[in-house]
Amino acid sequence: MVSTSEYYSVCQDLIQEVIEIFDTPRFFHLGMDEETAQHQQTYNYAIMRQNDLWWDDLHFYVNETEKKGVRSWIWSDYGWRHPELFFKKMPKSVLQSNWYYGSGFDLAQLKEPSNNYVKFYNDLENYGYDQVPTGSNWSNDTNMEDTVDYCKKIIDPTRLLGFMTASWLPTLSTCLDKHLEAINQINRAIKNNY
Amino acid sequence: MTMAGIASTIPSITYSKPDFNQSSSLKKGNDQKLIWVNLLHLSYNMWEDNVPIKYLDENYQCSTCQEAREWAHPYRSFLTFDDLTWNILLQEMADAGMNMVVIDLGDAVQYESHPEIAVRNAWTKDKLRSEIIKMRTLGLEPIPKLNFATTHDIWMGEYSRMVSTKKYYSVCRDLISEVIEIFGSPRFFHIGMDEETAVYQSRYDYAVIRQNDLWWGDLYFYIGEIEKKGVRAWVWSDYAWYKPELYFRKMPKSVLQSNWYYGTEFDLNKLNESAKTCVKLYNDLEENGFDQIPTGSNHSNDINMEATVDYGNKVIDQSRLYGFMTAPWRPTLAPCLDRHKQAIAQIERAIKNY
Repeated sequence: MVSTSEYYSVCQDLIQEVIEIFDTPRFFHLGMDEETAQHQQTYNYAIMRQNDLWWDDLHFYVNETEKKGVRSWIWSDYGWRHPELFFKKMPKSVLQSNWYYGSGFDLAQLKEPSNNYVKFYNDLENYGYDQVPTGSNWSNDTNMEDTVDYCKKIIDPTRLLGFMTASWLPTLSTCLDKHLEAINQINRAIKNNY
Repeated sequence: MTMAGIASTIPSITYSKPDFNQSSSLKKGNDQKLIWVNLLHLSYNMWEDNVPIKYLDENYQCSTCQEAREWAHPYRSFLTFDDLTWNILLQEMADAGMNMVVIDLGDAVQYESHPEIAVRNAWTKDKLRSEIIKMRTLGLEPIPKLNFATTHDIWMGEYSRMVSTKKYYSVCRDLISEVIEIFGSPRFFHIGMDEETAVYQSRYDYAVIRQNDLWWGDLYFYIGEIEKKGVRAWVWSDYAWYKPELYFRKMPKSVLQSNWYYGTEFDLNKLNESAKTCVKLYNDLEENGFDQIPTGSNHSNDINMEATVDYGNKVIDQSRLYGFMTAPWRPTLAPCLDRHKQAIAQIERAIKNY
């Protein structure tokens, strides 16, 4: 029922209620990543909003969040595929989390599409967006600290709000060690950089 | 509620092929006339959900058929149909010896169960009933078509954004039931189900694709709603191009098949892989014992339709060859009259040579 009147009403209710529960948080992460056919190829039900509809719905969520005095926050990967449109239509008020989980950060060495993902940190900076770059121990154990190194160099401190680690694992005891490793990587990054 | 009870209310839970109509009543009788059918559009809201800037003007004056097609192709909140063109085509079809019309109804009817679906100037039920009588008087058997493929369901309005929900199933059930009632229990009910892939929706604002068991569960739902009224379901067969094994395992034999191919070459040894897959499906459907109405067109060239008849006649046993369909894929509008007439003339020649 995505993009129906009932859907918008439910989203409005949920955003409002969550903001109330969190006592008007500083940020509200809306996701909005990976809405492509490729990412849903194994799903029973695949749905993609495209063209103006994706933007209209994004603006709806952002508006519902901002009208409560909360800043919205999203994953930036839509910009990988439609950079011109992204920089024309994305409000500066929306906090950006670009993400890249590989082990190399040298743009001259990287091949497409990895080159595109890493360069997007630079592009967001060039267009003046606030960022919380996101790394992970999903693929390797070096990415998170390298993400901090890279972004600290290319993003002005006024727009670099911080860093995020996303281990993409469930909060279950079987994954505890992997979670702890992710936290240790951030701990080392803090000690070495700040 | 039992598991079976729950499953019957949630189509996607129907994982295995249900026992649809397997009775001998489906068998084609020796005296049954070969069907020569034309697919005509009452509604043309079967494609894009957004209008290109060039055609934003509702009153854009189309000077060619191609322009009329482009103008009518995206969603329009009003009827894109011309009565005079329709009447001329019905008479031409009758004169050519054709005996069936598949009418793509979409949102061009003021359904009593869901009046909210109708576009501006949609036909009343009375108007549709009188046109059905007119067709029958001309010797043309009227067959309804509601395309439930998500690539072609913008005619459902907001319900096209609720696919596979309880509300959606309820609306589909109502529409199928009402259309069968209007048509006085037709022999067939075409439900489309073609081209439900991301590629075909790459330009849409809203793209939905049912995959895996969900596509099959929903297909079984539509078939069940149709067959319980004593009507035979009819589909486009192109899902089988992509998943032939699954198709032949899960598609009920009771469903009439229309494979389609609009190219000029039919020699399997000369065709590229994708075209070969399309043509060869005629053979595969025959080998797997499905009843067929092969579909050609003058959409791409002027030789396909007659070549389709030649090919279908060679590879399909007469007991399973129900007839042939032409699908010009042009709106029923005056600038496309000649194109429609050419499609009918091709069928007329095919009938004479048969």
